[in-house]
Amino acid sequence: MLCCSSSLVTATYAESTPHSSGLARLASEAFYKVVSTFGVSNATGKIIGDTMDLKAKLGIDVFKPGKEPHLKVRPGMEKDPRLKPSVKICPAGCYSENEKGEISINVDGCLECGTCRIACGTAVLDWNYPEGGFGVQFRFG
Amino acid sequence: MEKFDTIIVGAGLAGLGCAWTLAGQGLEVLVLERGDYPGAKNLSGGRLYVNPVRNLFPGLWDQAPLERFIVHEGVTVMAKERSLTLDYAGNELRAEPRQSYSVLRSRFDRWMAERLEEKGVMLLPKTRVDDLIRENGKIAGVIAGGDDLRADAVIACDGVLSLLAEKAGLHPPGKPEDFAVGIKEIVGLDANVINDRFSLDGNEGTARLYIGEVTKGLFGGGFLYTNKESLSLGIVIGIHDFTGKGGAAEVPALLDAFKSRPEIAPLVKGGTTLEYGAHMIPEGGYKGLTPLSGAGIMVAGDAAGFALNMGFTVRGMEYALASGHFAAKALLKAKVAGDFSAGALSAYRGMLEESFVLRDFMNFRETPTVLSNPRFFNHYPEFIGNIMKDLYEIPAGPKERIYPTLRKHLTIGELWAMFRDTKGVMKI
Repeated sequence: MLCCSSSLVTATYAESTPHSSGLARLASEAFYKVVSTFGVSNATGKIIGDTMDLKAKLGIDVFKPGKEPHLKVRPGMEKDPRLKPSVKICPAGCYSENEKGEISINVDGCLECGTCRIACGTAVLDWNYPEGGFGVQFRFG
Repeated sequence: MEKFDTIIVGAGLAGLGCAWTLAGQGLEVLVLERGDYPGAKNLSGGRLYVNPVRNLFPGLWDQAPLERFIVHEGVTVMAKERSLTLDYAGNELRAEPRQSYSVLRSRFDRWMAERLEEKGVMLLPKTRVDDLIRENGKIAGVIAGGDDLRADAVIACDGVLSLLAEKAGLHPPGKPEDFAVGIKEIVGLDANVINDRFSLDGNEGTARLYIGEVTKGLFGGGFLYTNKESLSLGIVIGIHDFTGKGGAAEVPALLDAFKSRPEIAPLVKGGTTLEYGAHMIPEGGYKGLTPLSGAGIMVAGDAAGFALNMGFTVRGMEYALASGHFAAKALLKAKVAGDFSAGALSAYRGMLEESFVLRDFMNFRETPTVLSNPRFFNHYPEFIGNIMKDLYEIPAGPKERIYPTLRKHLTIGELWAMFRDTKGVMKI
């Protein structure tokens, strides 16, 4: 039930995030305040005392996933040494390396900071922002 | 086909600042923003210094949703097992008008955009610019959402990655040496709890910077700003330093380690994590600035590299607002002459050179080099920590005098190394 309310919070907030309606925003901010006071746990994340693991933290943010991943490893570049820093440097932990040394991306939780583009370069990454209206939407910033 | 006088790409502080200055001047202005709303894709530490931009935006500051005004400036040097904190408090920081405020960008940008729409500026959110239109050797518009949108000039305020200026051929993709990544949490805390924990009254706020073990000795540091009902807590890590030395820890884990420090944990205890985010920061200083204009294009804000690490503080937002303002002024001048060539738009740079923006960047141009001395991050924090440890220790037996205690640490070798480091410090 808790994980349902987590996705409910994000869905509600995303839908009602107003462009022009102040009242809708007040309502969703109040709703969010209630939920954040009582605590929310993402289905795959844990809250341990006052610290949360990375998935739990990302679970709090609002994301609107696009149909296609906005960011891909270029074909043939999965084992390129230039791609190696991505695994440790990505603030959202989107990059992982398998036993064969191939690196892959899961764009869920991508914060669109662009660190990977700078650290690894465009020769190994097909890097784009998500289409307009998709991806992370910061509520505090 | 309809043509705009200008298309501003990005509704962050540079884009909004530009549109603010253009509003009501009789131009057809279009602002494009890829987020659901202005601010949706923006993150700052962060704190905004108002003095340089107060008069550039009259009427903006009265009702703007700023968080707390900063009256305490803190620096903490963190060693592995200990730390030393300086806290500066001055009566001038309490006086009006206030010098700086903590901000939450999603609120501030969204509010500013609403004021702009009231002033008649057309702003389209959820719209990503995919490419530039080039005609007759100049930028003539943008392609967004499959549509061609034409304008006499495009003002690229598209953020730190500066993809549009790259597409325009103004600069190559960014280098790791010129950027750092900031990651942060917004931790919700009751306003009275914040006031108690940080010795604040009313809407006063504190700003703290941390250096040393925060980034395990690599370039960067930690920060903490008090907002009205939350804390902005985070770390910044130089990208080149991290990849070059094959950083030992993962970046997200560094933030967790910072949050768990005995100096930090009590400050966030009982708080609720409300948001987790990351954003890059230009660190190249003056040498890292992109070319600022070309035929039919100007670049403002982070997209131009306008963020400055001054050592004791980090600045960016007022440069974004100001550069947006001056891009608008340059556009108005170009419109009068009907000339949007590279030469005409270079007036933008001239205005920036006469303002605090490029004067600050030129004055502080050696700072990135001096601050990249790894000794500031991996040696001095331990060194200072060890001196303080020995000073404060009361042993079971007799206690040594102060001078011999200090002298143990201040060896000839150490003094010589400090002298060499100091020569660099004179340049910042």
